[in-house]
Amino acid sequence: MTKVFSTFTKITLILGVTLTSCKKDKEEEVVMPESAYRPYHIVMGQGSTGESLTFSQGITVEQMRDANHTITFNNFGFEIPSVRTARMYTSTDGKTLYNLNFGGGEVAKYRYDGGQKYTQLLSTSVQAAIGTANPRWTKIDDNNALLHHVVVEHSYTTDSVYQTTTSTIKLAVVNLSTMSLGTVRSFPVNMDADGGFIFRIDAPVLQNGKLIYGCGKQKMNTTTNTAAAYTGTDAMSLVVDFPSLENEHIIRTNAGGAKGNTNGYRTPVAHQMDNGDVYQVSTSKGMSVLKITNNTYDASYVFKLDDVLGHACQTNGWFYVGNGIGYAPVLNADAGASSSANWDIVRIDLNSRTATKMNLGQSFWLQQYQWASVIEGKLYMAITPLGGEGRIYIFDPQNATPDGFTTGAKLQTGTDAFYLGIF
Amino acid sequence: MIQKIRYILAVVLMLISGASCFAQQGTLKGDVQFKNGEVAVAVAIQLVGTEFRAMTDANGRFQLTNIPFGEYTIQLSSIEIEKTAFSQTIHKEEETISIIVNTSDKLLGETIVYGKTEVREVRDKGFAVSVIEPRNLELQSIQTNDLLDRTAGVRVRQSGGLGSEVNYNLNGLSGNSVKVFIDGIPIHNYGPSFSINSIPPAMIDRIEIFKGVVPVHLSDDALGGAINIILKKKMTNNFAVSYSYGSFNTHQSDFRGNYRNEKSGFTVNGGGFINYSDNNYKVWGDNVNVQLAPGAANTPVVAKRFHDRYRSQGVKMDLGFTNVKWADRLMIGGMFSNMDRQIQHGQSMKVVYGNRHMKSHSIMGNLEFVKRSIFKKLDVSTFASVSRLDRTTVDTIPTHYSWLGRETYYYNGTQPDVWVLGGGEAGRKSLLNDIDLNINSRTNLVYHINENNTLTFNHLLNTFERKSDDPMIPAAENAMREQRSFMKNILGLSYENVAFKQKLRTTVFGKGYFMERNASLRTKTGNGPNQIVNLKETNMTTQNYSFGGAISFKIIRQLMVMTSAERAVRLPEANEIFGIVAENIIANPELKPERSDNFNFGIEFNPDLPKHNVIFRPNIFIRNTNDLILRYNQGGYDQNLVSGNIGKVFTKGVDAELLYSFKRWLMVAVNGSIFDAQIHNTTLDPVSGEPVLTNKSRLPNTPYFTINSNFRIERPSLFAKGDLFIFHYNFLYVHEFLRRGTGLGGAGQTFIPTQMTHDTGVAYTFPKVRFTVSFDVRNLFNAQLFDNFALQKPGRGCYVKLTYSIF
Repeated sequence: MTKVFSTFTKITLILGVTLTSCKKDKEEEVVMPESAYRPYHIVMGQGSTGESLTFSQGITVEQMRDANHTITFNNFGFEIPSVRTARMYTSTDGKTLYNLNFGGGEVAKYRYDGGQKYTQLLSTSVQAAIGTANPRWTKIDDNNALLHHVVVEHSYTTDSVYQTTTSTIKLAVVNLSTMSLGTVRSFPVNMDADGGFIFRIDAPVLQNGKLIYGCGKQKMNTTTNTAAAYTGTDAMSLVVDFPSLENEHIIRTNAGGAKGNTNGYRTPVAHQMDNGDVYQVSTSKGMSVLKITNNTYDASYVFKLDDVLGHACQTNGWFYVGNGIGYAPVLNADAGASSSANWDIVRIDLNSRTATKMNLGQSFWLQQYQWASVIEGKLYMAITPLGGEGRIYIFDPQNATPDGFTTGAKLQTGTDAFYLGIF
Repeated sequence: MIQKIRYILAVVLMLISGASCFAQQGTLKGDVQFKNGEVAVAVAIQLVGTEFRAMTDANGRFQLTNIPFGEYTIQLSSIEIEKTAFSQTIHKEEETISIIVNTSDKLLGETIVYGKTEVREVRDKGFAVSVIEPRNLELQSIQTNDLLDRTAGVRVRQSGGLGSEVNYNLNGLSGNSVKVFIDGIPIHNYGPSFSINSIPPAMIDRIEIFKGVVPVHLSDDALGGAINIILKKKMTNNFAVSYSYGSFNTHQSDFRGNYRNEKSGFTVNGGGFINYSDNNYKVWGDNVNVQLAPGAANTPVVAKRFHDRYRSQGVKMDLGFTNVKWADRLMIGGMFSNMDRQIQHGQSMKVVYGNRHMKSHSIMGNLEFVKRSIFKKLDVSTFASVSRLDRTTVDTIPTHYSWLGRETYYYNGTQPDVWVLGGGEAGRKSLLNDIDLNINSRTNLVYHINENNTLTFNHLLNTFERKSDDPMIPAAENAMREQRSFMKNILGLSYENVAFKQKLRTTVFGKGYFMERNASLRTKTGNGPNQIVNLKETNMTTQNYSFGGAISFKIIRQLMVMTSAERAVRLPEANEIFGIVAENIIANPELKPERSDNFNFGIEFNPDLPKHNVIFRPNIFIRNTNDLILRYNQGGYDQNLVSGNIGKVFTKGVDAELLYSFKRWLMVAVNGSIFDAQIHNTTLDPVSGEPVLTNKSRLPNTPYFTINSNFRIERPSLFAKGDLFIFHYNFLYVHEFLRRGTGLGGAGQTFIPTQMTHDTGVAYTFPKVRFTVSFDVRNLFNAQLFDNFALQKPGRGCYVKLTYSIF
């Protein structure tokens, strides 16, 4: 089945390329690539309790669109090596897979050879640079990824009274072609006056030669002497120069009452538009879309999903398609906690500051949904109920109605399994 | 009774004859053979009631001289024969007799004590039990864990070399489901320094492994079975010392002795050991890489382990009285042991440590009292101990090491790179010290209703209290640490019946588990130096019951059929009920115990073949385990985990052992075990918590097919009269198994590869002096061995051992 399709696709593409190349040949001498076919990777996770497995297999656009096709990982799929869990990305051309072995303290690069075959090319230990075997990382473009980790240290007086917490930020740049490490830097960040401190940073995005990192906050509970999640009174991001990783400073906003974390979990949190503006979401209970222009928050941009949708919202990130339209997995926080199956896909319009809940027929558990791909102007997502059967959803940003999507291939999961995305 | 009369008569006659100055004397000589004509070597011959003793030589011949004329009872005994006695008159100057003896029921090293061997007793009741007797194995460089690993149905998984963490798998169930005992006392009372890792085979009399169904004398919440290590308590005077040196700078030495004063019954019994190993064996593979420049891609290497040293020392000594009128045993004694172990890596060999280590020492005082027929028909035995275990994890230097065997200097200028986990290599800076206080007692009462019916009552009391202290963490946090204690009472009652001329044995038993747990948590009301500290105490009392039985039927002398079953339980651990705050694992006071319906069916076939001795013991087993305690995601932003009774595993399998011996000097033992353990994978609905989807797949990370074959020659008087030559060869096969087996994925899956281990060696005991030299090679072909994922075990190792017995 796959073979027929890929041959068919190849023929179509070659024909298409040949025909178009005939036109282009009149204008200039262009060397066309062997094939313009871009392999996509569908990825499934298994295990919601800390240690999880991650499987990947190749897939074509045709297969994803075919409502009669079924994608399964039963006895098929590449198990991405991990001690505890795997954090992966693919290159823009889909030919390379990059993975962080969470628990092993290593990053590795794999060449995609078709089907379920991924061949490891290089691996690099990041333990000495970042000081842990469990850092987080984000690929920011085809040449670079950033490794990040926050070290939290509480200090007490000699009378065992809690004083303050210092967060040390550790960053390292990964050169994705050689898989070697570039700049490595660490620096401290002090606690806010209200007791909130940074315990995690994630989901950086590049704007004007600077990295903007989302931040997760905590505060010490002095009665139990343990730190707990803290929303605080505003939202903040950490900005550093790239690639020197210097000139660190915090930017903050309270636009429309926005507050809480901005680091998300696995889903991308911030995206850059063609005009250079960055739009970021807050990721605690109470969801706001925040605008960052020239590395500072625009306080005049107020877009609160809670007000638009009429219930408490929470998200871990969103996906951008184009023309100000994006899609976000959003939890109805009035109906349940983030581990519950009360998440929906919401179409957000950054320009009109409106949001529409997509009518997928049911709600899902999407706390760990990681990636969606924009193909020919449409957003492809792989959504399944935990352990059940789901579909590929193809969202059309031109269609603002709750039914502005089509369904594609069927997706089979497995026990305690959920699709992580289409890469 | 008749023997007593004969004895008295013989003594009287002897006195009479002795009293007469003109008493005549004669020589008694002859030979002893088995029914099949084979000579009976080393048989002790005694004229009962006299000092006349002799031993048959290599030709089965003996001679006793200067025996005063009279009538005597001649008694023959040896480890090979059934005890024989008959009367004989000496009335000539030379008497020659030829004695025919029967082979005893025991095989391959079982020791006769009183008529029926203790091992035979245990097997005959019908329990699925394997028995290991070290006997001459203690002359080799062999670890106690190796002895267990070669037993049918037992899989020992080690995460490194000598002294590394060990896990026991019994017919598919492992971890907390398998309970280990030393002399019937739960092993955790002895601490990590006096464990299967450190106790040498020389101190062990035998190891009994009960699979799935555990008799009341070992009652503890053992879901999968019990391993009981019985230490030597011989009646004869002996003392032996040994020293072994081998690969990876391994030194091991032990001594073992027993002294009993015949007149007073005063007995001293004890042993000790010293173990040392650098464990600096080579490791290689996917998980062994180094960086040759800052931030460079990994280079695979073959590395020598450099931070894996293990040292342990221990002494156990008891003194008291044995075999006196008022007690079979009254012994008071103690144990003191120490150990320290460097920790070379974390969860996988990818994360290397250079400083983290742990150490512990234990001290125990114990009292033992055994008396058969303390009252008419009632036997009593009791063992009580108090122990203090001190364990410390030391992790205070956060320097980063690599497989180059030293610190890395890439990102910290002239200083080495460091881990930023809070001051240590594996996490926060820690000098975590746990002090455990255990009180333990086990009492066994046996009431012989009549010859065929016995009632046994057993009581196990175990109290546990742990005080944890970590001087490295802020005093404020230390003071808030939760403290836990428990008191466990297990009562067992068992009824045993023997019928049809001892051919049919039936045992039924019930056990009650009464547990009282306590957790104290301190909270402050505010953040000041003098804030009030509230103490929140949680008490939990639980009662659970289980029951079971065993039946054995000896159809004919050569064939016995046995079956046993038990509805076993495992009580939840403190961490499962109270959670672990530091790891975001929350409490679940509603947690029930795990339950397993265990069933065994087997036969023992021992055909009568001349010269050859064959025993075949296959056993079919079923384990239906429910309410398995597993962790799952409970919810909340920080991903809290909780333990719940959501697991279900169904296991069916067969294990078998085939033992063959030829004329008692050539022995072949083959055993194998194969089982299918299916775990029901349940997806829980994230809202309702109800199971949504259930399918079955093979239980992951569990070896399910193993074969062990052992070839052994023990030839006395091969090169010189009175010597002993031993040659042995062992082959262990463990079939590969998946680390995570869920039916998902088809490429790149992590699995633990097939293991084939060959061990061999020779030993020689010099005649006249009891001095033995042995030479052993382990992992002969230097195979890359893994019991657990990415944790490599030692390659080829050579060892020399010297053993010397003084009387």
